[in-house]
Amino acid sequence: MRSRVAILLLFPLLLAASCGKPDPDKIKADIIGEVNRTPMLYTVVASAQVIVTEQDAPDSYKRYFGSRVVLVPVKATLKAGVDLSRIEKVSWNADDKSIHILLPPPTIDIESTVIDNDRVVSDVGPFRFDFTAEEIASIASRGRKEIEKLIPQMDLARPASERAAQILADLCEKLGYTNIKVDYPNNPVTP
Amino acid sequence: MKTKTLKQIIMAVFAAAALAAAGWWFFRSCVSPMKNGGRETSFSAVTLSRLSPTRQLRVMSIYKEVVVGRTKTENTLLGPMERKIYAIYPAQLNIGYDLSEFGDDWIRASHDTVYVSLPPVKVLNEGGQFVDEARRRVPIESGSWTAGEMNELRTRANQEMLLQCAEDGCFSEATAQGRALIESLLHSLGYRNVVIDGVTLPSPRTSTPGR
Repeated sequence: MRSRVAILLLFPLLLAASCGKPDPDKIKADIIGEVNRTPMLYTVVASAQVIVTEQDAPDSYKRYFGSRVVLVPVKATLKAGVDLSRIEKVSWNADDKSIHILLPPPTIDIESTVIDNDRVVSDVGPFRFDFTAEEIASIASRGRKEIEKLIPQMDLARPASERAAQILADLCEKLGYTNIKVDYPNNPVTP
Repeated sequence: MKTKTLKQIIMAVFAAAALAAAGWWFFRSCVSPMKNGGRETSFSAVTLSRLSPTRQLRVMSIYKEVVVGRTKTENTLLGPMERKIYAIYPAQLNIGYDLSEFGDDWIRASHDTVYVSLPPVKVLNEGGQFVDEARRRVPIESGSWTAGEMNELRTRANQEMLLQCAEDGCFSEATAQGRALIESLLHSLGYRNVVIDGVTLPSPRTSTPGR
């Protein structure tokens, strides 16, 4: 009888203890470091924002136990410019002081992202768990992917190339070149 | 006989309480979206703002993942309990030059030599934000954490990133990298000799330069 009661007591405790235990080795394996020495000439900076809403699906049985909705605003800082290590062509002529530079296509990077913690809004029913920091991060990562997906549609590439061409043209002018031509893909410009 | 019955009753009550607690936990876990599917995610329109020109030359970018955490004591029905949170923040530190800070006479050419005066390299990240918070992971978390506490954790992650990079000597490495980059760029623009801050860096090329 006693052993049965002990099993009855221990079983739920073991069940509860096995839930959500982090693995320390996994945490260590995720800590990495990397140095990128690619020279980038950033010419445009912008801020992108998206609000991610997550809730139970309309056909989910969980709705009967109370609502569980969260709004997570995500902000990203974007920088656009050209990778100087990928400059397609540089040719110069000392006699007529001319120089011709062909720039590579512009690159747009996400420099940093921020979850606007002060504006995270949630509505959680009494029978539901609150949103954890891990869940909020998981939802925010989807917002980041949405921003990343829409980067090509943002009007950043052309101004980035134009400004990069202008900066390099100014540099060449300081160096004494008078006939300067800086091109970039599909959009040639002669400052 | 009575003592034995009492013991059995107490044991049964404890067993029932433990089963009820486990059942409650299981029930709430079942209705948590993290455990099951049935979620619906929607996005607002992505808005682009604060579009502004800049003149930055990044010479080095360091990517790290920094771990920050904190503990606090919360009063619960069972008395004061320690709560903790440890988060891993991916972070990127960009180091280089802000070209708008260069003076008018930072570069001067004379025949086949160009003289350059460079300012110190600096952190280029906007607003001192290094972390990619939308990609953070929180492997250890107990209790609830306010927006202010999460903001403080992010601030500490930013400070930790800067500290680690400074300790690793990233700024001195970026200074050398920046000089090498400017030298390489000017050689490719046709100059045989590049003098940076009074130090002559002869061209590695054997071909005749254009000037």
